[in-house]
Amino acid sequence: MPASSNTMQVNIVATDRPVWSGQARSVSIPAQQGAMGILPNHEPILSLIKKGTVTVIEADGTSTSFDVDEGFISFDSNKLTVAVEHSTKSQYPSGQ
Amino acid sequence: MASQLAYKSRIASTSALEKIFNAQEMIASSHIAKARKVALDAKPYSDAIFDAVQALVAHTDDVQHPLIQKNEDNPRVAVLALTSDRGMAGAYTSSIIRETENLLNKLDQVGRQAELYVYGRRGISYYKYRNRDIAKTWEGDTDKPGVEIAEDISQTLLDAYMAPAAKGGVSELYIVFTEFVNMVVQKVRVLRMLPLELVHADDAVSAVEAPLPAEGMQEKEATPLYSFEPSANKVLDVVLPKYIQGRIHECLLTAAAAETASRQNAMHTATDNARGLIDDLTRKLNASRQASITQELTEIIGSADALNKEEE
Repeated sequence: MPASSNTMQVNIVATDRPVWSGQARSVSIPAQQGAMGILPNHEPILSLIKKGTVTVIEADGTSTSFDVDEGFISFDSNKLTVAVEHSTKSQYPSGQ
Repeated sequence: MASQLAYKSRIASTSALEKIFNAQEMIASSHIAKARKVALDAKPYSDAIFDAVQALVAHTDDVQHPLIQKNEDNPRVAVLALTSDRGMAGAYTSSIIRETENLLNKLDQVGRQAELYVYGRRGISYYKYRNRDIAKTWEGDTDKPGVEIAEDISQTLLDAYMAPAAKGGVSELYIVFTEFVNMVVQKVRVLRMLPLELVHADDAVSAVEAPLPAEGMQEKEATPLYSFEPSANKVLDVVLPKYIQGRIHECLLTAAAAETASRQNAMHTATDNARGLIDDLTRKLNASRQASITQELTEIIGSADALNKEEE
């Protein structure tokens, strides 16, 4: 997939199933040391996350939120993986 | 020669059984599709964990973690046997039990005390009947194990492993499970899960025969230089137990697929046997009917002859 420079591949996976995957412009995650925003071409990072909400701004600008449990994220070669025990799409997204 | 009535009733009961076997076979094959889907769904997560562990190991030259290296001389080890809840699966449970017994004997010979953990009702009843001490058992859903049961099992075993020897901790963990190779072939495997060997499941076959060094990380690929938050050790503390849980879940899933497949095979054979039996019995029934007809004819002809002779 020719990833354009201003988007990145995002995979959100739970223990029992893949939750979401697609291209995104930015993702905010509840890292253990405070919320963290990840933009395309971030440096490789492995970070623990706590219970909270992962918000993905998709390539077309729509925002999608996921409630997640504890887990971790890893980012390398423009690919973000969010691995958590359980995750569901937020019932009540916080708007844009 | 048995009476025709006896043959008829045996044919009727065998064909009723044949229908049951056939239905069981079809149920098993529909479960296989489900089991395969569950296994595929769980794969992205275990891949993510595996990549993260690789990155961590590549980053830290000398990984010091009790899950990888335990500096304690403790003869107690844990053995987890994955059996099935229900029978009708051919030799599935009995080969697991045989392999478990082998392992227990082997461990016994090298002076280890094995603690037995069993998943699956068949295995539990086998050991209960023989009055063997079992440390803990789980049952239910062996043909479709959920994340919850994997969590429970791995939590129990990790607790046992992390506990100090004085408090009944164990120094190693072995898992005896059946690997799903394909629909026809299922292999019983013994895997040494703890202390961790950082190699992929496929390479960890002969863990018992030849224990690899703990840092058996041969296939190091060029992993990007990660930064870790909050710190590499903290990430390791969280990711390694998850990795264990993922591996245990993987074992449960492949065992479930193997169980379903061997059940399907067993039921297929049973259906074939029932059909063969029905053919055989039908042939015998026909022969016995023919024999009785012939006998009647002979009797009629014989008596007719006798009457004719009297008239002469």
